[in-house]
Amino acid sequence: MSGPMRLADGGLIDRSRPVSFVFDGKTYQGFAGDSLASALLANGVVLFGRSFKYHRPRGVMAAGIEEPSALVQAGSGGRYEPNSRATDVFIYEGLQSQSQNRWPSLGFDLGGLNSLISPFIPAGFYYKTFFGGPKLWLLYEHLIRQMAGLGMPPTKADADVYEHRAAFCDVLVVGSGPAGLAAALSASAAGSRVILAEQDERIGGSLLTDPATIDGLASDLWIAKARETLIAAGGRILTRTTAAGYYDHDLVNLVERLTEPGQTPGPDGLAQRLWRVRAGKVILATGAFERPRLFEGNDLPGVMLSGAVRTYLRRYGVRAGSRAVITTDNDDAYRTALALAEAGASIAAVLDSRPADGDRSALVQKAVAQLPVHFGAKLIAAKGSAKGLKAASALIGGKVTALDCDLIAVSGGFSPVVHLHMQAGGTLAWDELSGSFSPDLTRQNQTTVGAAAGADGLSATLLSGWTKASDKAKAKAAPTCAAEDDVALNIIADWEPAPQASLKKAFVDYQNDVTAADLDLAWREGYRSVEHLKRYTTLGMATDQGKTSNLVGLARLAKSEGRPVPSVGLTTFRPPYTPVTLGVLAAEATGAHLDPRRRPVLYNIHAAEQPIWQPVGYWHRPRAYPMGAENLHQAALRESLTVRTKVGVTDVSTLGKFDVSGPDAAIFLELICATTVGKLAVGRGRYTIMLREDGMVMDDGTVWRTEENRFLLTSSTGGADRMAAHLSYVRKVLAPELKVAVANVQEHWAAVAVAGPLAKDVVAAVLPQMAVPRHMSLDRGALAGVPTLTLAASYSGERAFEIYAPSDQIAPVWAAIAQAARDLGGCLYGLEALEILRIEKGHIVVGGEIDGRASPHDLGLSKMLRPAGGYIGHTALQRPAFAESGRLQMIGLEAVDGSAIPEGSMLLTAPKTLPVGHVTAAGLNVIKGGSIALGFLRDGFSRTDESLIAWSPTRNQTAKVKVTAPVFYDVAGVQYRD
Amino acid sequence: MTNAAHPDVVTLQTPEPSRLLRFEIWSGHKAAQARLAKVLGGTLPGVCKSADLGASRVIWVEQNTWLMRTSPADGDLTLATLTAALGKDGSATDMSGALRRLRISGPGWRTLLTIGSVFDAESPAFAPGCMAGTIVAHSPVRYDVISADCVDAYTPPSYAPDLFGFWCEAAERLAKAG
Amino acid sequence: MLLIACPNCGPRAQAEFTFERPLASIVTPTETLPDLIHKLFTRENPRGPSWELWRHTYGCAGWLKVHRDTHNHQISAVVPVDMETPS
Repeated sequence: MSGPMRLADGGLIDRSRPVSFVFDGKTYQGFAGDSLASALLANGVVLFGRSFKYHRPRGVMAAGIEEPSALVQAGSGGRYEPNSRATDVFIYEGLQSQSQNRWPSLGFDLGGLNSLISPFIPAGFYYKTFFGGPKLWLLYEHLIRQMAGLGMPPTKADADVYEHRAAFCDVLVVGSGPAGLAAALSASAAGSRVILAEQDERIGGSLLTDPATIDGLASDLWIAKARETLIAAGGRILTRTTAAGYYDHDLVNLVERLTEPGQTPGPDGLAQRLWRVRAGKVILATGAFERPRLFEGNDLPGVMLSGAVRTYLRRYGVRAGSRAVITTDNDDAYRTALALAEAGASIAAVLDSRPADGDRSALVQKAVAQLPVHFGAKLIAAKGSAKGLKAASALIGGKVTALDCDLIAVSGGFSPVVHLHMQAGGTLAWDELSGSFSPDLTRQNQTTVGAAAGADGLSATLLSGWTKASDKAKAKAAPTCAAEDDVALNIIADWEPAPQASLKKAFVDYQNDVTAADLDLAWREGYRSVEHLKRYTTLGMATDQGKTSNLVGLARLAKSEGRPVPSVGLTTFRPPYTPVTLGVLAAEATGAHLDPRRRPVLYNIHAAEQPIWQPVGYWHRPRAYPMGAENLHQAALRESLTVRTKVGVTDVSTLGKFDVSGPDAAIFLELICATTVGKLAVGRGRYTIMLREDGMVMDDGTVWRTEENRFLLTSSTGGADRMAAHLSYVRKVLAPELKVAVANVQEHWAAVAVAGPLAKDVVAAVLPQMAVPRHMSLDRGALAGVPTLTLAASYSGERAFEIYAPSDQIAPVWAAIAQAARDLGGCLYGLEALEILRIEKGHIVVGGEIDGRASPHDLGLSKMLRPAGGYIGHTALQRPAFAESGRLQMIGLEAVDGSAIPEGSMLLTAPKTLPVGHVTAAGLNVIKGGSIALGFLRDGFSRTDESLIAWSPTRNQTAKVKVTAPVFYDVAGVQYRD
Repeated sequence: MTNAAHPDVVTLQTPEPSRLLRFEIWSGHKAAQARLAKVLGGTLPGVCKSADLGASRVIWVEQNTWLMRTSPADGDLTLATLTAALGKDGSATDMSGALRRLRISGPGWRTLLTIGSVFDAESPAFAPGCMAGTIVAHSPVRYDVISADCVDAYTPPSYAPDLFGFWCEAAERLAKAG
Repeated sequence: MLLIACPNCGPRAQAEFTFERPLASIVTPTETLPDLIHKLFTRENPRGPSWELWRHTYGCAGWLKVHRDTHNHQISAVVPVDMETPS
C-alpha cells in the first residue's frame, strides 16, 4: 500500500489518511499531502508523459510549478483541466487524471515515430517545409492541428463558480519560505497590514525540503509560531494562492485555488478566487529555480533536478531511485547525495564540474569521505527508455567512464525567480560566477528578498527578509539559524556539455522539445537576437514559459556570440506567472451577466405581455407585443396602424432626462442647445438639438420650462449617459461660475407616451381634473394618487402626450393609461412601431441619421439654429468644409418599382458606379403602403425627384428609388396639432 | 422585504421607499449652509460624509451637493423647507425614483462589499458616517455607512435587480463558507 | 489598473474614472476658429508626463487634472479642475 519507492517513515504527508486516485485508468494509493507526482513516484511510476514534438518518453524532473514534462489532464465533464503539472496537483479521493499528447497509450505511443524522423524536424522546420498551393496547405494544416498542442481542450461548459475580491494591505509578501516568513513577521511587527501569499498548499517554502533550527526552534514549530503571530496581528495568509501578475501602482493579482483540478468544490461552490490586491509595498520572496545541465539524454525518465530529489525524500517520503549519479557545479547537490545515501540509495558517483584544487566546505568534505566524488568531472550521456534509466557515461579524469544508475540528480545552479519584479518594470544585474540574474533597480514599490535576491545560505536569507520588509527593522532582531543549517552555494557556473555529448539529444526547453543543437542551428542561420532565437526555436514559449530553460538558452547564445550573457538581453516577462483559468478571470461576468442589463421599472409588467425584447445599449425594451401568431413585422404594422387610426401606448421611461434649475439655468441650456431656449414661457416646451464642439449634431431632444428658473431637458435613450457626461463637463469645467444645478432624473421619472387621434381622449379619461395641454405645453395632475407631469409632444406624428410620474409609483399610472387606451380600441406599441412611425415623419434619431458626421445643415435643420450663436459647436460650424458642395445631405427615398428598399443600402446613380449616398432607415408608408426610407445623398437637397438605385450587396437586394423630401406622412403637419 | 437573510454573516433588506431630495449650494455659499443647518437641526456633512439631521439622513454626494433621505410623508414639506432655506443660493430637486436602496447588515457586510469590487470596504477609515461612490459588478453604487454593522447601498433602479441579485448570491456563498 | 488619488474621495481604482481628454484640448465657448481647430485636431502626444482631464465618474463625479507619464503611468499630481495646475 505504501508503494515500492515510499520510505517506511518520514515526510510531511499524513500517513493516517490514505487517498486513492486514478492515473491513465489505473488506481493507485497515496496519502493526504502527496502531489500527484510524489504519489506516482512512490508507486514506482517513472513514465509520466510524451514530449511535444518527438514524443520522447518523459518522467518528472522537478517537484514544483517549474515542472516542464509531467503534464496531465485532470477531472472530467464540466470540471476538467488540461496541462496541469503533476507536481502542482495535490491528490484527493477520486482524482481522475491522464497523461497527454500520446496515442493510443503512454506506454505505446505511435507519436514516437516522430523521433525516427527527428533529423528532418528540428526547430523552425516548418519555415522551410509545407510548400505548395492553398489546397495542399489545407491538408498540411489539418495534419498539423492533429499533432500540435499538448492537452485536449474541455468539451463541456465550465460547471464551476468563481469570484473576484478586492483586497488592500500595507505589505504584500509573495512566498512563504524563510525569507518571506521573516519579511511578513518583520512588517507585521512594524504595525503593517500584511497579506502573505503562497502558491503551495502549505507555508514554509524551502524549509519543507531542508528543515533547520531557527531561533532555537525546529523549523516546523517556527513556521507554526510565525503563522500564529501573523494571524493574531490581523494578517491574512493565503495558501494555494499564486501571485499571477504585477500591474501598475502595485496592483497584484493573486489566484487562489480552493479546489484542485477536477475536484468538486465545498459548500460555497467556489472553485477559485481572484484577489486583486492593491499593496502599499510588495515583497517578493519567490525563491530560485534550479537549473538542469546539458548532456545527451538529459530528458529521459529518471533524470531529475537535485533539489527535487531531496524534496521527494524529505517532504513526501519518496526515494526516486536506488542507484544515483549526481552532477553538479555547486555545493547544494551534496545535500541530495548525502540524503539519498541516508535513505538507503547507493551513490554511483558525484560528478562535480568544479576544479579539483581549491577549498572545500565541511559539507563537501563530509561527502568526499563517504561517497565516490569526482572533481573536474561531467556527465556525457544518460541511457534509458520509457521504462527508466539504465546507465550513464561520464567524463572522469579525462576518460569516458560507464556508470550504472536508475536516477540522475542534476544541479546546474539556481536562477532567482524574478518574474514579478520584471513585470513591475524592474531591471536585473548579472553575476558571472553564479550564472544568475537578480533584481537590481525597481520602478514600483517592490523589493526582493532571500534566494530571489541572490541571498546565499539560510542565514543571509532570513536576514534579507527581515531587514528589507520595514525601515524600522533592526538586523539584530532578525531570526537566525543554527550554523550547520547555513549552507553556502560555492557555485562556479558551468554551462558547457561534455565534448562527446550529442547536442541533438541535449535538451534545453523540455516542453517545446528544443535542443542545444537547435539553438546552434538558429544562430548559424542568422537568428542571433534573443527575440529571434526565442521565436524561431520556440525556446521559452511553452506553458512553463522557460522557467528551467531560458538561462541555459541565453548562455548558449552568449557563447555563440562570444559576448557576456547580459549583453545578449532578455525577452519580456509577461503575466500570468503560471497558467490561469479563463473562468477565474471572468468570475461572474459570463452568460447572462456578461454585460450589465438595465431594466426599465415597468420591465415585469411588459414581460407579462410576452413582448419581443430589444437590447438598446444595456437597456432591454419591448420591440413589439405580438398577438396570437403574429411575427415581428405583422405586430409592428398592426401597432403602427393602431397609432395612426386610434391610439397607442408605449413606455418611454428610458429617455435621457435632466432637471436644470437656478438663475442661470437658461444661460446654461443655451450653451448646450443650438436652438433658442431662454424665450420659452413657463409651461411651454420645444424640440432642440445639441452639437459637439466640432459642429456635428450629438443628440436631439426637447426642453420644457417647468418653472421660472427650472427646465426639463430630454434626450435620446442611447445618448443619455453621453449627455450626462457632457452636461457635467459644461457645468463643472467650461462654466463652473454659473448658478445652475443639473440633476440626472432619467430614472426618477418614468414616462408613458400616448399617441394617436384618440390620444387626448385617453388623457382626458385618466386625468379628468387636468386640462389637456395643447401642443408643446405641459400641465400637472394626479393619477391614482400619483403626481404626474403631462407633456404634449409628438414623436410619431400623431397627437401625442408623454405622462411622467415618479418611477417608484408608475405601475398604477401605466395600468390606468393602458386600460383607457384599450377601452377605445387602442393597443400597446413597441420600438419597431416607433421606428416605422418616425421614419414616415422624417424624425432623426441618434445612431441613425445622427451618426456623428452630420452637421445641422446636413440634416436640414439650419433654420432651427440660434442666430446669435454662443452654443457649443457654433464656432466650428464656420469651418469652410461645412459649406462645400458634395456634402452628404439628408433626403427621403421612395421605392418606384414596388420592391422593398433594403436596410443600410448604398445609393448609386447607375449599376457598378461608386456610391453617392446611403440609406439610414428603411420603413414603409403605414396607411398607403409602399417602401420608403431616409438616407444621405451628396448634395441631396438639390436632387429631389432624381432616380437612383438602392443596393445592398450583403443582402443581394436592389430597389429603384426616387429622391424625395424626408417626410412622407402629414407633410402639412396638422395631425399632431390641437 | 428581506432579500437574503444569513444573520450570522450578512443580511440584505430592501427597506420601504423613501423620498430622496438632491440639493446643491452654489459655490458652497456659507450663509446658505448655515441657514440649512438651522432648519435641518445640524451642520451639513463634509466631503464624503453622511449624518442624521433631525428625522432625515443627509449624504454628501458631489462638490457642494447633498442627497437627503426623508420619510415619504414628510417629502413635500421638506422640499418646500429646503427650497425656502436655499433661497437664491441653491436649488433642490426631487430624485425619489432615481435610486433604489438596499440595507446590508451583519458582521460580514464589509467582506461582501469586496466581492466583484475595487473598493476598500475593509478599511477601518471607512466608518459610520462615511459615504463612498464606486462601481460593483458593472453597477454604479453609493455607500452610506450607518453603523458598525450596517451600510446602505444606493443604485439606479435599472441596475438594482442585477446588483442586488449579485449580492444575494455572494451572501449565500459567504454564509455557506462559514 | 491605475490608482488615482481623487482630492475628494482619496486613492481609488481606475475603474471608477473616465479619461476624458488631454488638458490642452479643452475648447472654451469663446474660442476662435483657428484655436479651436488646432486644439481639437492637432494634438501633442508626448512620451512622458503631461496634464490630462479625468472624471471621477463613479465616485464624486468631480473633474480632475491629472499629471501622468505616458511612458510608465506614474502620476505625479492630481488636482481638482478648478485649481491652477502646479508648474
